[in-house]
Amino acid sequence: MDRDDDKKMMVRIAGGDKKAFEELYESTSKQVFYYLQRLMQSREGAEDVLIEVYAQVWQNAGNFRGQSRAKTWIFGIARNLALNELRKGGKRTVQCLPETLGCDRNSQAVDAFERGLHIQKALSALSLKHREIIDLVFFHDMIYSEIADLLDISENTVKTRIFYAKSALEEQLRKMENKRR
Amino acid sequence: MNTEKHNWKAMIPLYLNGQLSGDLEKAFESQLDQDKELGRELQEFDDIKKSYSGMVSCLSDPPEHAFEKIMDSINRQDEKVTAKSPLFSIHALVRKCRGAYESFHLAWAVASVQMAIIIVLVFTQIPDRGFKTLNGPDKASLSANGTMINVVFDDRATEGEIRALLTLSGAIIIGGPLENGLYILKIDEGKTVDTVLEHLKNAPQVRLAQKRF
Repeated sequence: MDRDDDKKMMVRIAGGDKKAFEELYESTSKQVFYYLQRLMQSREGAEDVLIEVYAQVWQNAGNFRGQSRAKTWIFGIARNLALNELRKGGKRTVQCLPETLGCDRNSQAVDAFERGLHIQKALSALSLKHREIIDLVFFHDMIYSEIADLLDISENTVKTRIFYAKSALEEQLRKMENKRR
Repeated sequence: MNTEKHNWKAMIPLYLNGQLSGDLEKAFESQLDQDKELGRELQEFDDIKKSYSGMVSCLSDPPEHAFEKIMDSINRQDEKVTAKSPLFSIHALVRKCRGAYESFHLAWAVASVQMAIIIVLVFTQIPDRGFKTLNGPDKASLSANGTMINVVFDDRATEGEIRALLTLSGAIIIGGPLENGLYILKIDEGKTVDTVLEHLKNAPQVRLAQKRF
């Protein structure tokens, strides 16, 4: 869906079209829920917030101006609500990590899986700011302008933050390596 | 030089995600052949990207009942608004209209209809609703010198008719209406009280007209 389609859909929703709302939910909720789970590090917390997110989408669809994609706009609502919940000290559990390797079990695949696991453990120890930007780039495949819109920062800050996050990740990986020795 | 290096580095995530345009991608690959540090950074970012490959398997999809819960929440919210505000139906109407207004063609159609209504109202005589916005009592005026007349207008007389009558008669309101509906008029200079009184008494909008002493 491009921005025009997004805008049309939001117009329908603003006009009370429940079918359009359901279509939007079907096409975006999975990614929004993944984003919330990663941000909040809690499935239960993410579930509560997801419901609130879409209730707000319904209420505020008329405010969507089409300056960003609908997905980015919804991520913005999700982010605000999740951060509010985290500030209140909402539910938080241990970060989930991939457990299965899939069917490819040769030694290279095992090494890559373990390396990935290691990186994800280090990522989960980073600050929310750093963890989030890496997630947005590599998990949600967002481009810099979308991330800038979502986080309300400039594209240059996005680029800088990615490199700071990477440095923090390297530092965390070093710490974990030292502990293992 | 450093800025150029920084720019190439900033492109790494976009390159890995396949988000660079064709030309830029070629230029980036050509730079990659010459710049070992860029290659090392690329490898590190690639490791990070690959670490997400199994991530979806450990995250849950939205629960099946989530959409129902959302609709329940929305309906509850609507009910609350209905209970709180008698204007809810107006809110709902505005919500419907707001959606409709977003349509370019419909917005023009509505604007045209509004314009037509305005033109009709401007060029046809708007019925006088009989609002009385004539002057209230003014103590200074009441004590003014000159000949004055007490008048009671007919209840059915409109403000427009009264104003027209007073202009033709050569009188202005300087006080009223009092509780009994009495207005006090002052006669323009150059008019005689008898002429004005006669004019007023003959007018169907006047129930009583007499000289004020």
